[in-house]
Amino acid sequence: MLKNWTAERWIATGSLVFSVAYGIAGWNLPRFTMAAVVDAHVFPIFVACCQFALSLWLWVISGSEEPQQSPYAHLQLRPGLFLLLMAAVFIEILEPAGFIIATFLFLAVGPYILGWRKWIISIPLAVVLAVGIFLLFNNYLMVPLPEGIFSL
Amino acid sequence: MRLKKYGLIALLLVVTMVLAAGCGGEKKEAASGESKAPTKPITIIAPNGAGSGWDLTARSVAQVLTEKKFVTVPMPVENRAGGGGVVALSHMVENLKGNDQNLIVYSPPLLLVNLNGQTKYSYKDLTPIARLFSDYELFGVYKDSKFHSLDEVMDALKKDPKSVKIGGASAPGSMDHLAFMMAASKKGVNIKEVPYISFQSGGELTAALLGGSIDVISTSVGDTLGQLEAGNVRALAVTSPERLKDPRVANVPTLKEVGIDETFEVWRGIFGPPNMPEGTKKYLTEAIEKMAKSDEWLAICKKYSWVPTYQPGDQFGKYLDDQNKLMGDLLRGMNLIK
Amino acid sequence: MDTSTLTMFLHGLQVAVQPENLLAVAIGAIVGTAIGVLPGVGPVSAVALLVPLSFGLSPTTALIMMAGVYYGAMYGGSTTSILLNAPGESASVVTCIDGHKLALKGRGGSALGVAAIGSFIAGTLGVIVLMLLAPPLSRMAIAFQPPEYFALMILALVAATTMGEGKLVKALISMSIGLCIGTVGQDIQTGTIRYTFGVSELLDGIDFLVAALGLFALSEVIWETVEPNALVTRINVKSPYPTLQDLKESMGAMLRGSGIGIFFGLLPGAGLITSPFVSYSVEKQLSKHPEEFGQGALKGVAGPESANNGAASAGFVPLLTLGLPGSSTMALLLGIFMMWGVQPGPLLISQNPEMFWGLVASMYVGNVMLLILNLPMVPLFAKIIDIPKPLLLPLIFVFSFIGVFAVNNSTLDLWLVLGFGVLGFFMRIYDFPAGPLVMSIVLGPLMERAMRQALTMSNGDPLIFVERPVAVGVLVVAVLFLIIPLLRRGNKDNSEIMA
Repeated sequence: MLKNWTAERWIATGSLVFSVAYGIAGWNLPRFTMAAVVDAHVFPIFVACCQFALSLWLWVISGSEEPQQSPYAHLQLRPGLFLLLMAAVFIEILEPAGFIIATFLFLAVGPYILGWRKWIISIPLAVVLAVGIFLLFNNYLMVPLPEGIFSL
Repeated sequence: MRLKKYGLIALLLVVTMVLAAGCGGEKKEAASGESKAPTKPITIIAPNGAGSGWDLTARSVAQVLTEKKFVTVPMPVENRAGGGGVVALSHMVENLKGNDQNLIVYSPPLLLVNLNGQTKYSYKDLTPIARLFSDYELFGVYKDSKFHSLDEVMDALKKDPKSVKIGGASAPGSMDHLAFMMAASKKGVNIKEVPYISFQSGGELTAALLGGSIDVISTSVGDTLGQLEAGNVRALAVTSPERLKDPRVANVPTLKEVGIDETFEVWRGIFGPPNMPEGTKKYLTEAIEKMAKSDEWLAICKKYSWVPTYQPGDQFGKYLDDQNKLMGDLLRGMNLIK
Repeated sequence: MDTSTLTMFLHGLQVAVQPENLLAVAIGAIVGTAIGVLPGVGPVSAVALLVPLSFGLSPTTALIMMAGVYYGAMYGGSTTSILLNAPGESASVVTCIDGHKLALKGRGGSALGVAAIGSFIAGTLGVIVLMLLAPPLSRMAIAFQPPEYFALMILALVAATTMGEGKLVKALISMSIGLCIGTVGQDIQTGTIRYTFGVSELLDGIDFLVAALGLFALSEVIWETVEPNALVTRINVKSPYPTLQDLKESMGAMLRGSGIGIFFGLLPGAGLITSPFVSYSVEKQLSKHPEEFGQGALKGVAGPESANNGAASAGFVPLLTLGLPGSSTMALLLGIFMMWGVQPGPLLISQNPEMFWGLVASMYVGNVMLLILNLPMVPLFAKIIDIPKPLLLPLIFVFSFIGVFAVNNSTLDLWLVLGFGVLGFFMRIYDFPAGPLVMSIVLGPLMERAMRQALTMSNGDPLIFVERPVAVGVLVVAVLFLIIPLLRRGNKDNSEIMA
């Protein structure tokens, strides 16, 4: 049975579960201790009901036929995953290591992941952008970007 | 493979940075009473978005300090909004301990977020540098309102707590709400039954008053000056200890004058991070004292109708202890906290 | 018409075109565009971030420079929406939908040009309305109270469902998820903390810009990194400028958009957010080819962009007559006024006419300046999309991150952008439209607030929504918006049968 479910039906099921969890969490919100005509839990519960009804609708119309060949089977997930990983590294090191290092790393490695091999272009570009944007923001626009190790 | 290498390098970098930062914090300053001039920029953190009251305070302080050369390094303003100042407070306590390059601006929500349990940190974690100025709350009605005095409003509320709609520009349990309910409870109103409608900004609040959606506004004096001057709003009382000097509100009675022996002060102060190095603290305290007495600062205060109530750090700390107790009692009295 | 108003405006114009002020507005516009093209930095943040630039200038010149920044940022936002699918404010979310599709088809120049020209037309009409009709229109601003705002939000949500194609139920589920996301944070009516899971950064809720950037820009980037053909395809940039045909085609949309924008702009607080959707929805329903919408319809750019700008100009009416700032940018500009000793309020105009009309005039000059500065830049901007993808995609990532980080210095926001990027990617694969989700993040909290304020006003009586004529009127329009597409579909079927 389950094997025959289409992606849509799986999504509808997930959405049903979510709407119930969301609604229960909404019901459990603390009540206001002073006068409130409409308290904080009312709107979330209303939304949860809408979500539940809509998911049910999708569940009913989504068939459970034989899953067909996905039109997205030809996607190559690897470069995208690597780029996401690099983005995560960027976010993690942005404050401790500073904007310049994080940006340089991302702009130097990012294009390589996507198949760019001309280091002669990407490395200088990464340096110029990282340092240039940093100086522009911190010195001229007075918008502080993290300095990281350059402040030590 | 190459990618993994870079990731490792990055990770190593992170570890080094964290260690280095940690060590930097451990270093002991020469513990003399000398004031020590900074050599690097000092960032003033505004715990809210650009254009907010805190932001305006931070930018005004930075402007006077640098233009008058009381501080010779640049002073950029950094916005760290979130949770009525909770996010910036955590940042200050967790990441900037012992740091000499950061200041932060706060007002009563600093006490309120701790009292109502939104954060475990409190004003005691910060290093008070100075109280800068104070603002007060004003209660007003529309010009055609049937209410002509605060007493009439309170009488109506005593008869039926739901008969008068009170609006403010901040959340329940915050300043606008507390100030009015404090006054109302003194008059014997059953404040737990009084609905309070909060609006996102002073502008929306005024629109609601002019359009008849609410009957009474409780908001900071500064927010209402324009409408008072135009005659759209009739002021019933201000929460200051004595009448305000600004000619636009000089004729508004204080709470004491209308028979409520209370004041409500919206102070603004500036703080350093926990364990701020003594030298830097001394230097900044002196610089801000000079600023607070300068004509430029007084001119800015006059513009925004801020009442200059400068107090240096140690006195400010004691003042905060009193205020914290006061706010705590108030919130408990209203059943907003246990 | 009040001749003194015209005199005042002309006087303001005179002030605005003095050489040093022209220079100020030009610098402001250029810097504003530069900051505004950072994804995630909208006009409000741009003005706020760049306030220090104006320190040391005379008040009027400084004000004029900020007006330039404001328009520059707005224009910069539309540019990135069209070219990179990265919106800078709620208004440009709508621009993304068709603007980016046009850019991918090589018609980025047309879209950019139409956006600039539409903005200019709307700005001009807005200023004229402002001068002619401000006092009578001011009553409208206070006629809109919480019950009316609630009705208006319903209308905007209905309009937002038209933003996606495909199954209606999927658009509705998207919208409902957006409403859920909108409830995260501290509830302003009671102070109750909802769905933050103890994360204090979430107390103020999830900024819709963060969501929009992830769902639109980053999901597009992720898509292009995994789609083997996308990385090597180069877009054949067809027209560097809009053709006469383009202009003729979109003129009606521009004028309607201007009208809608000006009308909604009169309502303090809601105009900028709602008018682009309503305009988009109207254009789609009037169009002979509604199926083109979402695939790159020029009218889907011209209408909303004009509406956006019309609303910005008309926002001066409540400000002018009542002292109520119509948008957060306006409130910010007024805050900046205070730094120069000008008290915002109903008396602003009578007490400081030079400054006020100077602002209105410089807003207008800023508009003209942008048209002059940017039209020659259009072909250049349109080339951005031609940068080799392996270099461009990481750049979009980095610029999005800078934009988000500069506004609030929060790394959590960066994680959220990334998360929404991944979510957007999957929504794309399974055909869930992202537009309704983003919009309901903005509209949901506004709707909830208006509903609760209204019910508190009536002590819980829901009849308040149907007893007030304006609220009823707006609700009727919302119902029409729901019904018309169904009727049209019916008609089409009929005519096909007839043929």
